Amino acid sequence: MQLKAYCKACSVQAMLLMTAPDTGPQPSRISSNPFKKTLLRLQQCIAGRQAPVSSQTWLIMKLTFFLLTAVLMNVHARGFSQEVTFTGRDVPLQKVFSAIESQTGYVFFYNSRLLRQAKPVTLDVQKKPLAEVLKACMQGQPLDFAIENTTIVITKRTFSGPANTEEDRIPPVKISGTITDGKKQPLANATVTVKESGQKTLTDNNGYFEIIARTGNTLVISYVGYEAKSVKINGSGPVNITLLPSVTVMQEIAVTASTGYQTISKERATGAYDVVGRDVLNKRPVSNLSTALQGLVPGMQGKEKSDGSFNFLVRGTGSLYADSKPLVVVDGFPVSDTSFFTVNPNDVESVTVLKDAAAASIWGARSANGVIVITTKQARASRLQVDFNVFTRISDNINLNQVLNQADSPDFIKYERLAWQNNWMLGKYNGAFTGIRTSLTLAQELLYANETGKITTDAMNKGLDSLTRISNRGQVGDLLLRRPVLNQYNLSISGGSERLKSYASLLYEKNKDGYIKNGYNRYMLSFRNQYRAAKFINFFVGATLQYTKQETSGPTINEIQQLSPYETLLNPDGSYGVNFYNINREQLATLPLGKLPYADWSYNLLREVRGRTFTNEDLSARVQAGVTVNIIKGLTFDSKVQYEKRKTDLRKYYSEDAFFVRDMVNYNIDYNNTTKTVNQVYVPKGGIETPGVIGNTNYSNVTTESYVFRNQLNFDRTFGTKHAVVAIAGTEVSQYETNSKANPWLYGYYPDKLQATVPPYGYGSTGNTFKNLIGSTGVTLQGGNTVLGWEQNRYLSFYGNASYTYNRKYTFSGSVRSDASNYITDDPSLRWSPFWSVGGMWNIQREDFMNKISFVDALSLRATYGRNGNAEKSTSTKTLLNVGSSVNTTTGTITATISDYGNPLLRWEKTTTTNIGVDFSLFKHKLTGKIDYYNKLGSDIVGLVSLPSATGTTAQKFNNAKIANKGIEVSLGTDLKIPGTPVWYATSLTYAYNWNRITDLYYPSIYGFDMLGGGFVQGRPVGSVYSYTYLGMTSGEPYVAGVKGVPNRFDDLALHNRGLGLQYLNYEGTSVPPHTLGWYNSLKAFNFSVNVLFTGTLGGVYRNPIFNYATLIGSGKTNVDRYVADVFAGNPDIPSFPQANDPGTYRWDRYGPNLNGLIASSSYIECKEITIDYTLPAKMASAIQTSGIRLYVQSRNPGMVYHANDKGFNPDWLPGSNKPLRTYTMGLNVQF
Amino acid sequence: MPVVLLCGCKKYLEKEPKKQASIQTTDQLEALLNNASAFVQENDYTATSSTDDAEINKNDYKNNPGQFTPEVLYHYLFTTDQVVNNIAADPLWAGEYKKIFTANLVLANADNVTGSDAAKQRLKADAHFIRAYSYWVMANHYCLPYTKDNEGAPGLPLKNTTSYTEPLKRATLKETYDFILAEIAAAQEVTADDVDPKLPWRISKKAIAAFMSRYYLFVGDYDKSITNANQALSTAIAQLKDYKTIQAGIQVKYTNPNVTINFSELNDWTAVKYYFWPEFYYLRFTYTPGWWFLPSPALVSLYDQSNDLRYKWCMLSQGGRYFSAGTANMYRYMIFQTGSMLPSGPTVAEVLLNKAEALARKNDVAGAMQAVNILRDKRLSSAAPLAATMQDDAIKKVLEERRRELPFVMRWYDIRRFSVNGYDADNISVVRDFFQLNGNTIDVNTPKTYTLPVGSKRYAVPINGVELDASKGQIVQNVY
Repeated sequence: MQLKAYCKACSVQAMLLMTAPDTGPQPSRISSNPFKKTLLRLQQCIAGRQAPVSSQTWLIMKLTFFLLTAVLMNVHARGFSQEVTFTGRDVPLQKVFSAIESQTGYVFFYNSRLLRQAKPVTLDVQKKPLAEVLKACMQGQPLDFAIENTTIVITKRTFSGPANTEEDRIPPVKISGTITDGKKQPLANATVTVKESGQKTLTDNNGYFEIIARTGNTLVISYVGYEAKSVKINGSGPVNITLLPSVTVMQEIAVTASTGYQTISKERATGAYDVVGRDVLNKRPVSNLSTALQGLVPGMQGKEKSDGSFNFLVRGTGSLYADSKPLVVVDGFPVSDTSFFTVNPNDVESVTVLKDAAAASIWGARSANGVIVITTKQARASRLQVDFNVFTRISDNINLNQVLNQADSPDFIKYERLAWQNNWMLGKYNGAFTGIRTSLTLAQELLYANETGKITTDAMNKGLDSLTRISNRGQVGDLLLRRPVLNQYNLSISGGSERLKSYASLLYEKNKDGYIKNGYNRYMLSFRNQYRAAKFINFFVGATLQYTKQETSGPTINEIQQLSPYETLLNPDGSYGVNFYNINREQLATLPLGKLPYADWSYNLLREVRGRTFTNEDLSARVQAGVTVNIIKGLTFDSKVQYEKRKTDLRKYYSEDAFFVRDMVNYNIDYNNTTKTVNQVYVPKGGIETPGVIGNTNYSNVTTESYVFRNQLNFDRTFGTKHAVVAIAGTEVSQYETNSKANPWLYGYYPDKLQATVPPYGYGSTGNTFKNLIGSTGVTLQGGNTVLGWEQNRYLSFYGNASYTYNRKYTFSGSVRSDASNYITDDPSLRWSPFWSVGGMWNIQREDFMNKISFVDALSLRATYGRNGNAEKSTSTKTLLNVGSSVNTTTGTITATISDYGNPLLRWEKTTTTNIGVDFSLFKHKLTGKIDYYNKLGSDIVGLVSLPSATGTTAQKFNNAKIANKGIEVSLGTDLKIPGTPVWYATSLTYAYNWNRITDLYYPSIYGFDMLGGGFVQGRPVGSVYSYTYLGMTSGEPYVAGVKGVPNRFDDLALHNRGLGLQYLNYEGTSVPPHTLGWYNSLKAFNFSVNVLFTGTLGGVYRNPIFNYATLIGSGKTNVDRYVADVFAGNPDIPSFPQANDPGTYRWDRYGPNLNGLIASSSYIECKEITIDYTLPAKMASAIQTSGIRLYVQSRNPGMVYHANDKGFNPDWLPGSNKPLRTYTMGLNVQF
Repeated sequence: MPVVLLCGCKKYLEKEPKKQASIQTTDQLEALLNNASAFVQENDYTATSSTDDAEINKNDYKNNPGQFTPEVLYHYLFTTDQVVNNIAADPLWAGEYKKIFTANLVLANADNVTGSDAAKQRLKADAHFIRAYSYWVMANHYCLPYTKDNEGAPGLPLKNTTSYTEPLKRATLKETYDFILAEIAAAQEVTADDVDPKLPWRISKKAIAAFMSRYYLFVGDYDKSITNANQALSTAIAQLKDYKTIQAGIQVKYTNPNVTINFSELNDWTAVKYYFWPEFYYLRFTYTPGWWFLPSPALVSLYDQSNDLRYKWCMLSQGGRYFSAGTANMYRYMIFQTGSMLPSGPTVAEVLLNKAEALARKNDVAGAMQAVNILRDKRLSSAAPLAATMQDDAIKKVLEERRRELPFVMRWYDIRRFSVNGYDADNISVVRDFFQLNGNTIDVNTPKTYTLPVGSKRYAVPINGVELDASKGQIVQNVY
């Protein structure tokens, strides 16, 4: 077994990698064996010794190809050797099946209605072959079975006559024959079984088989998706048999889609649904569920976040100002957290994405952006099953070259020197005491000292040269960064009887971020119980409890970038290096430091990070409960409730080591600079604790609390044989409440002593104000007040839908829903909005004429039309106020501002969607797929209308816009055994094209700056990118083309600020790529599987970064970006530096970044994920007292395989951003 | 269950999603009017740059062009096209109409909210006064001076409601002034007689009288101006600040080149202090977005540099250094907030000057001198009362004192007024010796003289082009 040896080597290597990630390559061991070479490269990657990007991409390609081909080429056939152990008396057949499933990994495939006719069985088998056990189970049952690879198909027994008692007397002969389908096409891999002897064989590619049997015996032929057939052997001639597609089997095992309100068979679903099943989700070890959904659903575009989780957008942007996030539903209830954070990814059974009106309209007002329905694993009546999953995810170290866009020291200083000489400055530090807040850089201190005659030019040059040789990158990497590691442990337990089923899971996750002092611990407990009290009544109760403690004290990119590249964190002797921040050294030297509360007023980033503790604690609980009552046949009543509560506590503690504290205390003093005396100190010495920050607001704690209460009638019944009706009707009430509070700051706070001191003179207020160091009066201290917040949203809904299917060929569906919210309006009728949909489906395959078309196995056509809604909640029909929650320090009164000018004409946004889809399965299921076309027209979309300011405001939101989204979504898949090999290959290719236009928008004056900043333009897509035509430089001043091509200077802002952009800006395309691709490949052989995911976005554009010409010096810590190198290099496509003393330099940044030459295609294709797993053979697994063991390794973000831009950028993650890191995951899954 | 829900659902949905969001009580409206920062500031480029109080020296411009924003230059050179087209917004126009919106909101809701009748009466009086004051400020910018001849000239769009669909056609100048008077009459319902020192942004009868002394001075009704001035001056709260009590502030020293600026303590004050400047009847400030009022040599020369404390504390000879203009010789006129805010609401000082001028114009020379010397007593370090025997001399002296006391704040209004008051001796023609403006850029190689002649059509500040666009033709530009 060649392959086995290889694979053993592979897993051994993998184990080595797990235990010793720092093991470097051993050059002497590099052999010509490509496999070993690749492994070594893999090791190198993990050890962090990365080859340059291009060669790495090549490596990924090679690695992928190699793994795919290795598995393909080196495998040999292997027989069934599955064994089963089972003991039980009068056990339901299902129970035996589930035991077999868990012991063998085989899956049963049956019509549940069939099984209802089955009798319980009594078995006592020890390590008996699978077929034998199955045969025993079927003894005396009206059932038969066939094994198809790892699927066991249970069919109705078609022949059950008495056994042939004469069989011994008739000699066995070789019987041959051909199996074809209704269109005379051969069926390969059909199972042919001699009923009497149990002898089995498979047909070949021509549908041909040979088997030994006796005349009079019965051959049973089975094939997935076809009615099994039994034929009595009458002679020795060839037996030619035609199988007909099965009706019952295919129908019952067909995929179902969950809308959250009901589960509908896809065969009868007229809407556009995409279902991602457990089989795929289980293969992708993730921390956040959204990561595992990437690339699998056409039309669901994701914007990746730096932690690898996603914000999804379903079928384009449908709203300009309202929330465009899809609704997230867990087990039938919408959850308030749309980031999937409160879902344990290990608990997820399947995810259904509802995309069109018919699918989503049942969610009414909140469905216009699509709905993502998560169904969690439910308990099944079975023996106790335990599943333990653990993985470790190690990432590459953060690459400072990626996260910083700062120039290196030589370029940085070169520019500082040039700018100083040429006077590119505004408000330069001028030696005044009030400039004490203006810290210069080390280089600019030298330049300033030379300019003011304090040092000689020689000394300055020497100083600058020595700075040029310093780079802090090494220290930053060593002291502020670390290798990110995430560990996840998940344990789930399920089991029970028909009357009481239970499922519980426990998750623990520990994440260490790439920046020191950033990370979290997350604990999550879920359980779900189902109780069958009586035949007609079922209860369920479930709960999820999550606690996360996150630390965010680490350095931020901004903080690191605020350091000049030559500012080091530590001196050679290990003491803290000099970093400048908010303090000018020249002025600091004039202070009597000994008299200040803190004599040490220095800043150092490392010391700052060490001296602070920022934490967020998040505790959330979600409880769901419900009852289902069967009223009459087909009619049930559901009553369900969900309650959610989430509490987040945020705090930022700064010790006295932090500059923040020493600065706050030292600066808020009454000080006389003439006599150099300190008269009063307003802030007590000691640590400070402040609220945390979310967005721009301070919070000490935020509590969200919500409930949803739903009552629903369900009807599902088939009348006669041809009429099937499914209908639901219900009501829903929900409320979401948020309470927040920002506590007063704690001053003089020593957590170890549990002491805090109130500022001795108070916080300052009207009539009682303080001075500060530089003598400003009227100073008040921060954090004197408690700031309170409260919000409560309520919704009420009535909904219903129904579908009717005739003869399994034609389905018609319709739905209605009305929603209302407690939105503030004078006219209560405006709160309600009706939503509806109609749809139809034609199962073409069932038509007689299709029998002639042989290559088509399944074909159906869907069409829907309907209307969804979206509430733009940021504005109201009435003018709304924001009344302060505490006294305003300036006026000494409560004050209020207008939070919303109000618009009495405001309405709901409406989205009308037409969807046409076709589902098909061709060439004996070798090619399955679907194609959807949609046309989504948003009307009454809230757009911003510019108003004359005489109305009191310059812009107000009106329902004046229309947006069209049209698109095609294709998903193609195959799942087949590669002929002549034991390899199964499955792939799923998704492609989506979205065309987006704002078709209508009243907005008379769209200025250049507005368009460049993402302003909406009629006739153009959301996310349009515009550029200026660059005309080059004339006598030191760069020009762009203005109206009618008239040259416009860079420092003349009239064009940018007041010119109508459409007259002179070039439309370059859209930043939202219209084409998206996902390609998921899966290869399985023996117990191995390899899964590779490619994703791509095509057709969009982005702007290449350019040097910020408005980089002024002398007035603070300058940051010179790395693109300054292009200007030094004299790139003719971009402006050169301004002339000396040019006063308009600071305005160049309006035009500079928007030049036409900077636009490039953002298309790229990326290998997103490679996963390899190995499942221990059942025999070995049971030998170590488990029922299944799976080992897996995964790499995420291995690299791009194609990018259209010539700079090698990932356009989504330009330098200066926290790009998701490449990760390596190793994990183990054990089942008991 | 659905039935129960249906009955209860209207009530269920009436619970508002936010607290105090919709307007329901007089307390909320009080809070709105007490948000002083929303009302007190007038962002005024015209006041900053369009009068003879301001002058940009040609050489200073040449050496420090970056110190002067396009907005300042376009107003400085009395342009119409650039002011209309090359400035994104007119903060004065937008700001005053925003105040009017809030006043309209208060008026629309005052009778429908819960609260005492007294509270409602107070709110409405304040709202009417806010509208009157803002329309007066705008009429004195965007319209021609108010005379019999100009009664039919374009006035302002008179917004009476918060509706976006209310027509914005410009009323005539007479209609505009009639509206202002009607608003003042409505504001007279206020019961508070004198200024509330804790709430100087709220009105009182004294505050209205102070404003009306200005109003009548401007329409040439000197008797009524004096009557109102006297009523205002009977205040027990508002009082002149004796400049002799102003302390030195933090001195700022520059080393490159060496410059020392001796600021007054006022420079260090924040809003929490200067909102309570004792001279105010009603709080308003002229604000310059560039934070720099650059006085002309003519203005500077009006002060007794050794004795006038206004020169000492407000007229800083090297103040141009403050934001580090390359050379140090430029002046900066400053009172509050780093030289960005000047008191512009009616103050005791202005009322004394209104009274003095009205008396002088009525040929009560002694009365005029008496009034003006009350002010001078608090402004000079040693007494130096003005004296005049003839009416022309008295008018000249009072107007000089007015210019010294209220530079930048009143000058634009006064230049317009002087052109139509039937007294030619006070007429002002503003002349600029500057450079050629080519389109929107200054050509520093071609000197050019610009003049704002007496009675210029440009006395009406052009309305911003964005505003005209957005009004879809409802608002019509002034004729030039």
